[in-house]
Amino acid sequence: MSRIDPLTAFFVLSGAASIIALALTVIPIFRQWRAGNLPRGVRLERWAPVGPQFALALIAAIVLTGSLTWYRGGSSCQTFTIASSQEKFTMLGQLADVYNHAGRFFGGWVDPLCARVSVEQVNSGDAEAMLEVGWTDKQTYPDVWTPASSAWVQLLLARAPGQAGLIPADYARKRLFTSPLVIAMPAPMAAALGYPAIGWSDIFALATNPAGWGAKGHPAWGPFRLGKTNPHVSTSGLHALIGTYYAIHADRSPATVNAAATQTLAAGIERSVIHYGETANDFLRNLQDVDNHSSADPDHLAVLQYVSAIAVEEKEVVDYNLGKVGSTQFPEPFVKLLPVYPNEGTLTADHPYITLTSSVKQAAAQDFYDFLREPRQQRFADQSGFRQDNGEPGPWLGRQGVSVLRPNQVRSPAGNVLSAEVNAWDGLRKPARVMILIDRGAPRAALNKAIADLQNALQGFKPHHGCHLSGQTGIVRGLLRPAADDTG
Amino acid sequence: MTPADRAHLPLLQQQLSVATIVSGKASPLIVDAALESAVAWMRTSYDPAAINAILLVEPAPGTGSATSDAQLLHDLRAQPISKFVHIFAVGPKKSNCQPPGSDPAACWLERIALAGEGASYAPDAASHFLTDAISNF
Repeated sequence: MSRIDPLTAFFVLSGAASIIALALTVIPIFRQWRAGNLPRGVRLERWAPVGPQFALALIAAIVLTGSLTWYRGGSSCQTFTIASSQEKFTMLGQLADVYNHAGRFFGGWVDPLCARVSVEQVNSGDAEAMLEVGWTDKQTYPDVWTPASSAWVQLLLARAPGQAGLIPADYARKRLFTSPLVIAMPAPMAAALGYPAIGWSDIFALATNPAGWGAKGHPAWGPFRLGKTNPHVSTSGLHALIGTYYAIHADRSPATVNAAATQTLAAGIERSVIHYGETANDFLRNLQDVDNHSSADPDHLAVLQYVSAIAVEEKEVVDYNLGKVGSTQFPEPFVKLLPVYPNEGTLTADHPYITLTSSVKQAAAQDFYDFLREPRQQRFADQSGFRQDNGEPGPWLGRQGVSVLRPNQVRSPAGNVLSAEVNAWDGLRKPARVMILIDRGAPRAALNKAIADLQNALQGFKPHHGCHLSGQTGIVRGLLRPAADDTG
Repeated sequence: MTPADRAHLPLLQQQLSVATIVSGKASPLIVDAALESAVAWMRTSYDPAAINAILLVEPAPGTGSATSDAQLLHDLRAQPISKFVHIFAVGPKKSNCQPPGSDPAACWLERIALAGEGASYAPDAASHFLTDAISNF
């Protein structure tokens, strides 16, 4: 709750007291003068009573002000840390800056408190993984975790029940705003597929059709190319994965997720992926660059050949169409994206605000949450492309070409099913065939460190991934693909 | 990790021999030529069922030759769509590699990754070096 700064109030009161004391002193003298009772020439004994009253008032004001100044210096603001997902990190940082300079106090009049907010960007999946093991890096341990979706909380609770105590029981009640998952498609492609009535089933059918866009009369567009993000890290990737299993009716249990027929279908969809990304920004930045270099082509064919559809948050489509990718402003694209709300329904990023129970700064975190929920900050969220927490777009977002209706909701499955879906993805994702080029001009220590890290990182490779290595001299050392394990 | 995964790890790690890679003396790096030949080789053995990619690693700041010229970037962008080799890059964090105001020489890795329709990673923590990129092909 916003309150008047107590010190400011005391300053005002002490100033008022001084003025009243002065008035009480001067007014009688003035009255005597008006009545003609004052003789010509002021005699000191007539002024004698005035001096002590002035002195008393001034001393009282000075003592009061000094005491309060000292008191204020002794009650320095608490600093607390928020681990924020990527897509709202910039906006939260801006709002935190406003909050930190707003002179807000909370708590009682006797013991007023203030807070300063530090917002750090931690991808939702990375934060979930760190919480699974108790977030061992105490330097970055947050007081508040605000992932993009509650699905990460469910995943955490399913994978690490021992960490459940960190999450307050009523975490789902505190949401900042929302943004539904959409399938972003270049406008000509969305139109060719029958926009707006498009579902995951249409995407799957075209993604697995060998004729690609030729099946829709546009062979020049090539095969259907899907852009997906890593569901271990990215909320868009996780929601797209959930949407996929929901659409193929395979999200009832871990057994249905791992059924052979399900895996065959899911793997077929993954084969249409051009590559994966850590966040949707990877695709949108590339798309912006391709679009920018397509100015000489009136058809902008390169844009349509780069990607056919990307699973992203609605907010990111709005930003892209305005030329904004991440926190960087570019010219508006030639080819706009249209947000497809899948017929089957979609997941919504609900941006929960979770004050971890381990935090000793609960009141400070609550005050910042209250600040974020105030109308002015909610208007800023609307103008940043987020929907209200009831799922409806605000006045600004409603004018940006998004659906003014709330999309049909798909609920995230139970934690154990969700965990099975994410684990299954590791085996179903499109394999990667990679050549690694290492800069040999680096200092030996840095080079050795990079190579050691590379060796560790390659443990994530599955047998069906191929990996070549070169030391920048064009040497190809052979495909690392154990024949015995090639089935993956 | 499955037994099948474990079985292939020693082979991978054996191939990543430090001695082999650093045996030559550090010399001025010709990124363009190495990258062009790597892309050409990947294209000749292109696997349409896989993500074909090159991971360019800059272990320390300023070790790259920063010679990437407009022709290289154009060639990367002009790859045939049916045999496109994506370029990913990992290097130390730069202060600002987003236009406007970015330094083309300092941001050469980012420019190459952009032209190669991949992504560039600049992990904050050394312990995450490469891991992010490896898992996001």
